[in-house]
Amino acid sequence: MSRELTWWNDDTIRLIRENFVAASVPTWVCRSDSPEGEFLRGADIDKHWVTSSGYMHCVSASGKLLGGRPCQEVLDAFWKLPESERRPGAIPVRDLAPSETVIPAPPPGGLVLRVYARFLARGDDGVLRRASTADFPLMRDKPEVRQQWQLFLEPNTEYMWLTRQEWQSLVPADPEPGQRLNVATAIVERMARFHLTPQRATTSEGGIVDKRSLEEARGELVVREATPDQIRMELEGFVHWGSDYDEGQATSPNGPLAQGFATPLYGRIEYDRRRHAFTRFDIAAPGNVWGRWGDANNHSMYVERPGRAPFGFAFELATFDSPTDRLPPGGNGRYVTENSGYFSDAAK
Amino acid sequence: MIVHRILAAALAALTTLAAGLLYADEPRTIGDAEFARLHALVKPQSGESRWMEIDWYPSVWEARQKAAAEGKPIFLMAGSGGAPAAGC
Repeated sequence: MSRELTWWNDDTIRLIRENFVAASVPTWVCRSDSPEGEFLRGADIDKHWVTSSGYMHCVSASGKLLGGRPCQEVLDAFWKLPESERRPGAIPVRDLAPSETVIPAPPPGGLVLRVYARFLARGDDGVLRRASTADFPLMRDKPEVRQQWQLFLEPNTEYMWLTRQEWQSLVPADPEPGQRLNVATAIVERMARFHLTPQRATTSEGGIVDKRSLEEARGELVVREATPDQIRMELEGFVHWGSDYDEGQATSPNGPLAQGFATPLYGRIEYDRRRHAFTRFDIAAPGNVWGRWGDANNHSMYVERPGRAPFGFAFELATFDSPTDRLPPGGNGRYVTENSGYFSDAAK
Repeated sequence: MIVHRILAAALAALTTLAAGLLYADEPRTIGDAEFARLHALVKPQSGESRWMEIDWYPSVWEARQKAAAEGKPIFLMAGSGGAPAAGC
């Protein structure tokens, strides 16, 4: 498991930041017909990245496998390489042609949003709060399981992409306070199918909702203020995918009800009319998930809860102060390929 | 005493109504303060999601170019369905 709670500490983070260049990629890259695939196969990475997620390996720019997780032993192995393989600038690495790359870049002139996902719970007063492992009946009496799952209760981060044409469609031409503007179906359905998916908090596999499972996805922008400098808007919307909630069927573990999710959408959005750019794009989706939260064999996972369980999402503008903000949606370049339906509302 | 009972009943009714609204999926109008609370509730807090404190390159090749230029090893984290830094 890559998201092991105790491993991500000050020492580990300092070690990586000071001594390594980090990349986070889907495992299929090592099997791809590409210079990146050839490079990884040359370091025997394809013999390691076989099934489950969370692989960690270190390699040299010259293509030598140095070890698993970053540690002093890996650094020692690196320093034992001939200087011709580790001196800055010693290994020439050419630029790739666009046709040779396997991980897509954000659309030119597009908009990138960070998407955070978190398990929530309700306090005795009914008010939403962050969930703790004690909120999950299937793990409540299992201290080791609770320890293992602790990190999955911390927010997961991924990214949503909009094309230039799409984000421009969200800017009213002649804004007046009170004016309402429908959010394009393609945008709100993308949000629902690819991003408002609680599954992404527990696994890197799946997490895309079939278009046929989409019950409702709508959004509306309401202009609150319009000045020569700025347009201030609020988002109101609603998303529901999967099963209809049925209290009698939403039992756990291994209850009969398929998973469903519904959430209101609230947003605070600000557009700079001089710079022609959004300066704020905050969205909150405090939803509820119900039904079977299955593993690969559709057996209830420890995070499944009976009834309707709160699960929230938050969106905000990416700042690009780190290359991390260029990770593709879902962490997987295949989210945005032609066949995925990500950039179209074609039925999938 | 009667006034107290009426006030208590009104308070109980309001509490029930508020709880009902909180449980509703359909959107309702919320103020800026509540929006800010909901938004912050989900976002990482200090000390959470610490794997996101690393600068992750989205491409092996880009990381390789930088590692070669700086004389550093490459740390690769990979998931079967997607990059773990963005959805383990």
